Amino acid sequence: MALTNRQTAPRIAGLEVNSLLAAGVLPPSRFQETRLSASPTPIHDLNGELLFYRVPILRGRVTDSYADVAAFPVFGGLLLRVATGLSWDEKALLKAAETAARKQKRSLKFDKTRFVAYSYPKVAVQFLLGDEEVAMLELGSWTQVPPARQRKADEPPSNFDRWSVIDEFPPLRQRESEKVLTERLRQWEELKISIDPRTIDATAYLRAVDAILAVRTETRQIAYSPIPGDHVPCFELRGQRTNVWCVAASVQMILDFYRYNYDQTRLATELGLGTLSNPNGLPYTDDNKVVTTLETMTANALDASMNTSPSWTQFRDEIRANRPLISFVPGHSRAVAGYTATRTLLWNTFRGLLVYDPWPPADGVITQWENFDATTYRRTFSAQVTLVP
Amino acid sequence: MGEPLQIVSVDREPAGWFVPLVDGEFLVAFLQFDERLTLLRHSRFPRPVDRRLWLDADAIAQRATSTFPDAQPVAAPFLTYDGNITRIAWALPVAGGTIFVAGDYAYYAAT
Repeated sequence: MALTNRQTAPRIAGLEVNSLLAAGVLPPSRFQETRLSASPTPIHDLNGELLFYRVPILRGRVTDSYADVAAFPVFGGLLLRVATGLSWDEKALLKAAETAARKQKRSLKFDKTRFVAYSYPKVAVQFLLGDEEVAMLELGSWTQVPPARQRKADEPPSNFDRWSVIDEFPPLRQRESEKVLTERLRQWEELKISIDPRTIDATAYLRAVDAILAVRTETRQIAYSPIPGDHVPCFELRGQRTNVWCVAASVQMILDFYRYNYDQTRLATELGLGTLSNPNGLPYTDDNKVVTTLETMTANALDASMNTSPSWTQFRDEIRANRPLISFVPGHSRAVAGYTATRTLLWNTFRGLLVYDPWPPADGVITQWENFDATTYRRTFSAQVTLVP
Repeated sequence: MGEPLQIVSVDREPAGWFVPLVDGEFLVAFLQFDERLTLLRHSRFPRPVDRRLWLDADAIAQRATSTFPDAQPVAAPFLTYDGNITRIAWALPVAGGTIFVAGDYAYYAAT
C-alpha cells in the first residue's frame, strides 16, 4: 500500500521543504514564497508499483524546481530530493516524449503513458499498449532505454541498464523502511499546523511550529492518587527473586501499589511458578493467571483484565487514570508506571514508558524511559478498584 | 560514562550496545541501544551496584564459578541476554551448558 497519494504528497513535500528552509538548509532566494503544486506526478517503479510523487514547486505560474516524495517504502526518508534549475511540466514532457517517439517510430501504437524510474533516480516515459511496454524513452535525451540485461547475482546495474529499485531492495530492508516512514508520516500528521503547508514560507512555518513545540511535552507518572499535588512517584521496584519469576515480581509491584503486600514466593505459588529452590516461568498458555491472581489476592477488590494488542493509547490512558499496568514483552514481564511524549526535534516525537523492570534478579532496574516505538509489546494487564455497591 | 560494551546473542550475533554510567567503583545506570544504534532505554539501578559484576569479565567468570564450582568453562564470558533483549546477562559457556550472571545473581542453563 502506498505511503502517500495525490492529496497527501504535496502536503508532506510542503512540510519537509518548509522545515529545511526554516533550518537554513535550502536557499531562501529560491524557495521563500513559492508554492507546491496540488497536482503531483506519479513516478512508477520499473515493476509497475507507484514509487514516488514529483511535486512541482511554483513561483507564480513558473516552475524551476520540484520535490520528490516517497510513495513506496523502499527509501530511508519521505523527502527524496529537492531539485532546482529544472522545470517540471508533466503535460509538456509527455507531449515532447510522444513527438520524439513518433520521430523514432512513426507507426508506434500505444494507449497509455507513464513516468518510470527506469534506473532510479533517472526517469523515462514508458509507452504502453494494454499492459505491454512498446517503447521507453529516457527523459530529456529521448533515447530508447534498452531491454533488461541479464546480470550476475552480485553485479550492480551499469549506467544505462534498466532496473527495479523495489526488486533490488531486500524484503527485510523494505519492512524496516516501512516502519521508519510510517512513523515519520504519523508525526507529520500529528502536527496540527495552522498554516497551509503547500505555501513555502519559513517565517510563518517557524511561528506555527514554535506554538506547537511549546505544548508538545507531556509526562505522567503514577502518583499517590489522581489528585494534583499528591506525591509522585508512588511506586516501588521489586526485583525478581529467581531468573524466571518476572511475572511474580510484576504482580507483586501492582499489588503493593494497592497496598496488598504479599511475599513474592506466595504470589509465585498462586501463579503456579514453583518454589525458590525449584522455580519455573509462566507458560504462554497461562497468561490469564495474572488476571485471576490479581483478583483472587485482593478478594476481587481489583477487577483485572488482559489486553492482547497493547497500544500507546492504552498505556497513556491507564497512567492518566493513575493505574499502573503489567506489560509482557516476548520472554519477559515488567510493570509500567509512567509515560512521556516529548517532541525532541521537529520531526521526532519520543514516546517513552517508565518501566519498573524486575530484571536483573534481586535488584531490578527502573527504566526511564523505554523507547515505545522500538519495543514489541505482547500483553498488558490492567486493574482497577471495584466500587462497593 | 564508561566504555560501551557490545551485546551479542547467545549465537554471538550483534544485538546492540550497553553503555554503562559509572560513579567510581559503582555502576549506577546504563543506556541500551539496538544494533542500529536506536536508543532502547535508559535504566538506573535502585541502588548503585559493584561495577565489576557488570563490566569486568574476570570478576564475572569468578562469580559464575564460585556459584557453580564444578562447572568447567570452555570459553570466555560474553555480554548477552536471556530471552528478551532487556534481560541482559553475561554468559559463561561451560561443559554441558551456560552459566548466566546478571549482577550478583548467577544461574545455570543446560544446553
